[in-house]
Amino acid sequence: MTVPVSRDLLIINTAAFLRSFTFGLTGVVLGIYLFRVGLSSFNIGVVVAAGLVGRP
Amino acid sequence: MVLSLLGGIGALALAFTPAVPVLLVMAFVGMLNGTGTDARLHLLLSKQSFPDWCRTHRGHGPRLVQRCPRYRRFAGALAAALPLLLQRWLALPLLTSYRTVFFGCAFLGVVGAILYPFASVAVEVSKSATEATPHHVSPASKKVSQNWRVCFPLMRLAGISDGCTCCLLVFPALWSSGRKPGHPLLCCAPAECCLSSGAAWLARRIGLVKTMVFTHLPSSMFLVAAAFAPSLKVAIVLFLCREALVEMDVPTRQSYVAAVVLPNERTFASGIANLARNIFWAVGSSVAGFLMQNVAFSAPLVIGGGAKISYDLLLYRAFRNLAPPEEQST
Repeated sequence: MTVPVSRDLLIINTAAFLRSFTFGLTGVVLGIYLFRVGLSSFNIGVVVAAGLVGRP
Repeated sequence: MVLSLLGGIGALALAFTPAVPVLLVMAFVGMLNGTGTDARLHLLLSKQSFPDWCRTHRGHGPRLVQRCPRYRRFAGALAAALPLLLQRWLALPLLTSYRTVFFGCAFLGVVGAILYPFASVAVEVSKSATEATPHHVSPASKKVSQNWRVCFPLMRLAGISDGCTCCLLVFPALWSSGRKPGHPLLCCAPAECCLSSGAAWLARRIGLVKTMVFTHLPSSMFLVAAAFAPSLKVAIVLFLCREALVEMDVPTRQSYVAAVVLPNERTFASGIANLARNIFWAVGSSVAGFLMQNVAFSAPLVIGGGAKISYDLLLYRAFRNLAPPEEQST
């Protein structure tokens, strides 16, 4: 069976684009947003640390 | 597919902003890391899913796959202006426009997850291939891992000052103090994107280890200098210079690890290098918050920047005589 590599590449990369796009967006606004909702510097640091630990 | 859904949970966590303990759990599950970087698992998935493609397009294809995340991230970073645009266009309160954007991000996570089942079964790594992977690690790979472990304590300190710390803690704090730095964070990704693409060009001329060390070293110096900047504008310029250089060591480090260990041990060796980076990044973020609140505003930059400089020097000492095969022949 012929493997449609280009189609698979398109699917995997489109899905990856959506993921990276949202990660890129939240990466910029995360600190500002958490600061605006009232979290302290320490709590923001701990939230980021939790996210980094969870990132495979 | 699961990673996309989990990313959606992270965005939902921000949209609902529950109490801190719940937010911590959701940040962990949703990988809300604030560095703007996706799970490195995707790159691994691409390489594992398309081994023949990677093999036949050696040099161009894999490099393209490696660079793509930077450009995707670049697009996402530019989209960070959306909350402000929504506020202006729809006259929404700022926090509501942020939450609207986070709901959008969660939706994109679900859409991404839905796409994966449409890929053919060929992208799945065969069971026989994973079983055939030897668990034996060669002495050369062990040496690389051991050398990296020597640098671990400094990486722990260096995590205090990483870019995410500056983005997440320093700039919001300046913002809240009434000194608006504009949107320098939007410029970080483009600056990083432009120069990190030049890492391969530089590595061909001066070698992987020197590129890794001598691009990272000035970035750390810019970081320490930012702590002593006389004005906010100068601090932002120094920070952007730092961001432009800071990621140049990532592709070179991955290429270096891939070049000096056996092909079937690359995942192990890359895993050791990335695991160290992620863990100490996580520890550093929380320590940085504590230092800013209890010691001095610029303390994370000075301590972390100093540790990074020491780390670079130690790295150079450990690896300067361990050249990859393509550099040995020249």
